[in-house]
Amino acid sequence: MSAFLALVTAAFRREAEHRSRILMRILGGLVEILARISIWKAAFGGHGTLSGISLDEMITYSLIGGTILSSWDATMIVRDVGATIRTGAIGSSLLRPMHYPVMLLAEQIGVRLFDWLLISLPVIVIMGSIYGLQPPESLAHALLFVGYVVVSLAILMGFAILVGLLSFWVFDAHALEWFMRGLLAVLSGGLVPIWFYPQGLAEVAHALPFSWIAYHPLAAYLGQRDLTEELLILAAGAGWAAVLAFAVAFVWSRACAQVVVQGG
Amino acid sequence: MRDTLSLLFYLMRLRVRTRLEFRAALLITWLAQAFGYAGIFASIWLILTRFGTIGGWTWPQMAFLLGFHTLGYALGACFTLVQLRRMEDIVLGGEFDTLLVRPLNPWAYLVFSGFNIEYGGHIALGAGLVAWAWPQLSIAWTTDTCLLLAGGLVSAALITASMITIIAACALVLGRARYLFGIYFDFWELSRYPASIFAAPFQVALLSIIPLGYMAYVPVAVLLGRPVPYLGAFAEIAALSAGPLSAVAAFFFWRFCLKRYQGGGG
Amino acid sequence: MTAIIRAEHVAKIFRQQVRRSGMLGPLKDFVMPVTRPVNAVDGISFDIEPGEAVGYLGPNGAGKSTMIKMLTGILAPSAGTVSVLGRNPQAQRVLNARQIGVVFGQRTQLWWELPLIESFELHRRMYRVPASVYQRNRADLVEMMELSAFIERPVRHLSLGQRMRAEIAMALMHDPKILFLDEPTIGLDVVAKDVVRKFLSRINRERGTTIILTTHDLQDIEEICPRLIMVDDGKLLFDGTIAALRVTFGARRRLTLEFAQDPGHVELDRAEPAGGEGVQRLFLLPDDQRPLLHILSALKAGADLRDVRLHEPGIEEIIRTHYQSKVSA
Repeated sequence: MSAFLALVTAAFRREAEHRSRILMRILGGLVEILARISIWKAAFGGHGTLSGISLDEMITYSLIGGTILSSWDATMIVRDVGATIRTGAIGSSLLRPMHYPVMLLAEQIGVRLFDWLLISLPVIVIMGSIYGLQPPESLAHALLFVGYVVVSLAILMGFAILVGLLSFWVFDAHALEWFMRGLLAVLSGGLVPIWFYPQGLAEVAHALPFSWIAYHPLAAYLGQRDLTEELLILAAGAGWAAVLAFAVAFVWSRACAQVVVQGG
Repeated sequence: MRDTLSLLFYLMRLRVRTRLEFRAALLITWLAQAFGYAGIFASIWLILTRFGTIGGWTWPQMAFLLGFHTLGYALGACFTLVQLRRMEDIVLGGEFDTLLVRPLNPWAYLVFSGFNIEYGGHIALGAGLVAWAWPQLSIAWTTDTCLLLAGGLVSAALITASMITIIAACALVLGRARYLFGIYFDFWELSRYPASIFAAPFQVALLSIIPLGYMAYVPVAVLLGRPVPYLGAFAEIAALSAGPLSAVAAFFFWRFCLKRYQGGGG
Repeated sequence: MTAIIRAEHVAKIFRQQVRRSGMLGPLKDFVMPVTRPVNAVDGISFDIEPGEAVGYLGPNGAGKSTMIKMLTGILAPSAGTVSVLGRNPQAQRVLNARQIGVVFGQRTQLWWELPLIESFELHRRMYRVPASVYQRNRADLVEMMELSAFIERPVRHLSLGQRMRAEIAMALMHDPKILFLDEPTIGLDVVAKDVVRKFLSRINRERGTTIILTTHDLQDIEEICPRLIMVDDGKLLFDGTIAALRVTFGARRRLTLEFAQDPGHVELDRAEPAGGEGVQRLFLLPDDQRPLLHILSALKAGADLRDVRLHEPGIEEIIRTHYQSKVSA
């Protein structure tokens, strides 16, 4: 566990060294949120509420969905894993006392924490002070939201690592990354909340784990459901996270066999 | 001149041949990129199925805008993005020095020897959306509209190539340019929506110093007969000349930076 | 004969950016960079005649690469002038490029994914080499550098030694009048180094191609370059033959005499005793071109000389001695 924490902090520190990059990424985050909010304002077109959702709620949805719960940068994991495998650096990671997926997770958590603190937070504060950020529905919803964020991170990381490991067999990680982007753009509900989806698609999205990446946490934050239902959905998300963890463990063991056979 | 052109064409052919050695991988890349874009476009479609319009733009109009944007971008990026995005490494690793000892313009060498056929997915998706939307929008097939469509796409390609060139040229002087590409893509994403939905300062910026508004919004608005803020009757001529003007700016900026190049790598 | 390369009081000053600290440091560096000057090349002059082979030597950061970059048209001097084949190489970069060949030891100019022969073909088109000249040169160079075994193989599969041979062959494909090589033997194994050296010296002899090479490896210079230019801290330290280098830096030949029995006091004309006792004596000889026999004839008659050894100091030794004396000074 201490090794895990050490990796988390090391990744955090490494990110902090690129200071000009932080400023650029904050600027990029502002532009991204601006786009999302502008789209919703244009779509609502002067109406305060449509389909039971207010514009203010959608602005909050954009602010959090486009920052803390954004899945875009997580696709970088796929690229990293692909590069590690292609260059053969994966061989040396077999020698480490920690499993490669666990190591990846530790590093990515470091990167994520950094992003939340130094990029997401400034962007939310700046754009929130211009367009307004709604508080969580209640204290209980706020606490649930924290739980949901943990589940969101676990599912996103688990899925990204899983896809990344696929490049053991499918050599082009770059292509996998684009497939993942397309999939998550629709099924995570990060851009458009699933309550706006046509019924059939909404049912599909609800049934898959990706909706826990952005949609369910935001729905909880905005208080769309009562607390009992929230707890059940949160538990289901935790279940999905566990399933993904098992899947990663299984694929990793197969991949290890592959490395041994190929001789790394 | 003819010798140079045939050499550049030869460089392009060499690169294409290299890429075609891995046909299956190329095809997967096309599919994957088209899928990635389609996912984002589908999100926009989802909004429109619920809300009807975004800032007065219906789904067929929006699809036309997205298709035009993707197509214009792909036409410019296949000559510039992948080769010039690593300009930072090209300079720091000393590769740029090796280009300067060859009897050829280094920009032309990079651009043509790196000609990238990975944009098949973009082009299929973009052309598909334009072809799907065009008949539903009752745009007349006149010489005028065809010229505007073709000219607007060329202009969009030139804007893309010029902006990427300008950012890459920064690496010649600063040694760094990668972050600037990040900023470019953030604004580039704005330019796939109708500029009229943004706050006034951003509209002005996208129609002037960051000419990405001409990538798709202005030519498509003119084709659809929608009013364009600030430009009014000049929208068409502005859409067609934005590309050539940015190319001239990029030419001079590249030259300016090349003169200040101080070598890289040892 | 007129010089093919001329450097007159050439200086190159780089502006090195001073990085500022603090949270806003990078932003300040970006908006208003602060720089300080670094003299990479500091008032260097030399002439090189057609057909010469010149080694350009100096420690890391001495300004070797910078000088090569100015001669090949990559950079312009901050002061002074360089002229290559009568031209300003930077102002007439493309014309200059057509008549010179350049090899960078650490950077490949070959097309990585394609068979070697494709890179040659591209080179032919880029330098507009007439077909007959290209055919002849390619046949010659492939034979001399023994490239035929792997000419159809993609460059990424070649060993470093094979690749360097190919790089040099390619740089000669358009009959350049001057061949510049920046560290051509770096990273090569002993055998590959030897092949490259022999080849370069042959090209210089047979084709009369002027060769300028920078190197760390003094053996390169000993085998290829009769003339040596030494720089340090951007300044010219020495320009001349290796023999002249010995004179300038006072590196003398060392003579070891071995006698059958202790000869007592031994004195040789103009030779400085350098230790030894009993049957073995050492002397440092001045560079005055006197035959060894003449020197030895000064020995006492009856001295029972068993063995005579003469040690010529290599340039490595000379230069090491020079730098050591500089450090201690």
